[in-house]
Amino acid sequence: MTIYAVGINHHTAPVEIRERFALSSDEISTALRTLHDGLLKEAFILSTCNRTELYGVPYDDVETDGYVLQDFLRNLKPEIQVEDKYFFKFFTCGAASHLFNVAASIDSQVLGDVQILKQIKDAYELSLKEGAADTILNTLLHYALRVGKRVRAETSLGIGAISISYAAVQLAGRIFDNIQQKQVLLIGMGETGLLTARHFADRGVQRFMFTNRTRSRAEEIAPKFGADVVDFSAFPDTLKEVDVVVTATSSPEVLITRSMIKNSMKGRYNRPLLVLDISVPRNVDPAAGSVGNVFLNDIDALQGIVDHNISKRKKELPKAGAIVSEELMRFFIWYNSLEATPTIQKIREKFERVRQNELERFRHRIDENSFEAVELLTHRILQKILHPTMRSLRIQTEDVTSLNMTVQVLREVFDLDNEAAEADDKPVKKTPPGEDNDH
Amino acid sequence: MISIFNYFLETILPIAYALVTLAYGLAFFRDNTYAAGWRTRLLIITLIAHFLYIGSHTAEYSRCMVTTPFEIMSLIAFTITATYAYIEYRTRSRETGVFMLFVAFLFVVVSSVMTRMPSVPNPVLEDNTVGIHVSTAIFGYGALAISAVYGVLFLILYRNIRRNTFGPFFKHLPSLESLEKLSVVAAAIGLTFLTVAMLVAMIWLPDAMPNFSYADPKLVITALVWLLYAAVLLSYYVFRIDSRRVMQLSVSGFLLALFSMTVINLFFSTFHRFI
Repeated sequence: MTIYAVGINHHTAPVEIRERFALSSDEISTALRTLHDGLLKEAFILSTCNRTELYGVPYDDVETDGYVLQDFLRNLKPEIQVEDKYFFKFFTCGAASHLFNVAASIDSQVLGDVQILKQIKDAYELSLKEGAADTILNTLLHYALRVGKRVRAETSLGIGAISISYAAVQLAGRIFDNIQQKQVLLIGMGETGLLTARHFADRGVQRFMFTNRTRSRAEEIAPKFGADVVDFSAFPDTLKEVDVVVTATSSPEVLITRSMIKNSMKGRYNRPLLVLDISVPRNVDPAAGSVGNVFLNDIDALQGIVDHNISKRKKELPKAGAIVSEELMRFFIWYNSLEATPTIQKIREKFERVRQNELERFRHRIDENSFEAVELLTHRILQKILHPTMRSLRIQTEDVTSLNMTVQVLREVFDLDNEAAEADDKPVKKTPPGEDNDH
Repeated sequence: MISIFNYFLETILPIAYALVTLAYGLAFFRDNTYAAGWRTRLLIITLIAHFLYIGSHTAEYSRCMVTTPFEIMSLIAFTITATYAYIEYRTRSRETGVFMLFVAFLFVVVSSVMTRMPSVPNPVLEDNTVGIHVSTAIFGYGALAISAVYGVLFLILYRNIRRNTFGPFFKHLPSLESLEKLSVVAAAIGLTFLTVAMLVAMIWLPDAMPNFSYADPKLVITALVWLLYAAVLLSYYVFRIDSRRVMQLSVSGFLLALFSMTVINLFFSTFHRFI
């Protein structure tokens, strides 16, 4: 009952391969159906920009191994020709451990990535929809999602901005009370500037002003943010109205001087002004930062926030690792108990068969009421005899070697393997009235 | 029985304040989840203990506890703690607790150290007008203490942001605008109560103490405190000066008020001593 985990991720394959290998929902659904019809009785595929991973439990009577599954995955996108070296393969304990690390966002390219848990949930739902998830994967994913939730609730692994643009928003949150009511001026339509504006919009900012040397470029992008467009030559006049200024241009000149800022502060009654100069070279005179109630932060300062947050996240790794270990142990206690379950069932069936056979022999000797009493009595005797054995098996699920030995011994002692064959052939012999076959 | 209970509470109160300040401190500076889980419970326990102490003290001495500096400091500590508990309840924000409760803790410790009870209460203190004066003064100074704490936190966070240092203050404190607003609102409340206290005193003083002087250091310093806080409110609401300057004024005003309550009262005032 091996659990396989096979795939590519940011540790094993470069981004050019990963991004082309990412599967759509439809491709995943088709793959799951194919797997379920042939190789794997249970299958789950997680595909994001950083990983495409297949988890599965093979059918008992189907020969498979990691290479077979690797080839299956590779053949989903034959045009890419992914080499063997880009694939990883894990089995059972390694597979579960890897999945739990992914769910905990310990394995993410961005440590503490908060999106991965939703991605796992969505992939799980696809599996359920295709009927490809059953007992083992259901339980495995239940524990994986629990790991993710616990790490999020009990550690600070996912807290704090770890990109320049998000750090800008975090900084604004430390200055302004209600950021949704603030106005943001974006100078230049560079990628980082627009990403910063996007983060502000996600935090609820609704009022934007855009300006760019090429006005048409600003006019093209402004509708996506509901932004007003201002002439590049006129933007200094807007400094007294806005609360946040983001400069993201490739201009080598200083666009905002100290005197511009000082003059604007009079017009804005000294309300705080946050100036984020994420241009290289800088577009804002550093002396502007000395004006009272003006907060000037360049790309190095924002990187400082990012570095601080990354360092804090790394300190949370031991806590997250401990949670992963705890849940892994819980999962494998359950997983190991599956080994014992068939044996427990067979022992019960054997004893029950003996009981039923003997009861049938005695049925004709006693009246119905007494028979019911005897039936109850024999049932209770059986329970008392079997209880210590069953309990012993359940207790040992933490140690799989000891468990396997106990299971083997019990099967031999009770002759379960032969008993199974005989039980199918030998019917229960009913004793005719007057005869007694006990001696 | 009451005096034993009173003595017991008097002893454990500084310990309770120390524990609750420690819990808030651990949660703020070390992100300690255990401390974070317990801090509000400890705050409530401390408040209840302090309330019981006020009641038992009043019962033991058969009068309001407004006659000695140690009593007044204890009441100021209670005002700060109760006000902070209310702010925490309304805003669900616990980040400033360690700073508020530390100030309250200092007041409680000083009040315990300065325990000195007159054998016969000064008859001047039996006047109800004095009760109004002292109560409003206590509320006033309590609010000014809160304003000063928020002012200090504002200045710390302002400096951290300016210098690009991103420790626990950057991570946990409310925003600069929030801190400024909280400080100014507390200052406004404090100034209102202080004004009432001063007006009551001006009405009561000429009859109760005909030989007092308007040049008494206590009156001069109190007037200065009032002017400083009036300047804080004018600077914020009317002149809109730099927030940092407003907060610096607020903190200076409270330091002057503290100086008035302790040094001036004990050593320089000719009439504002009732021990």
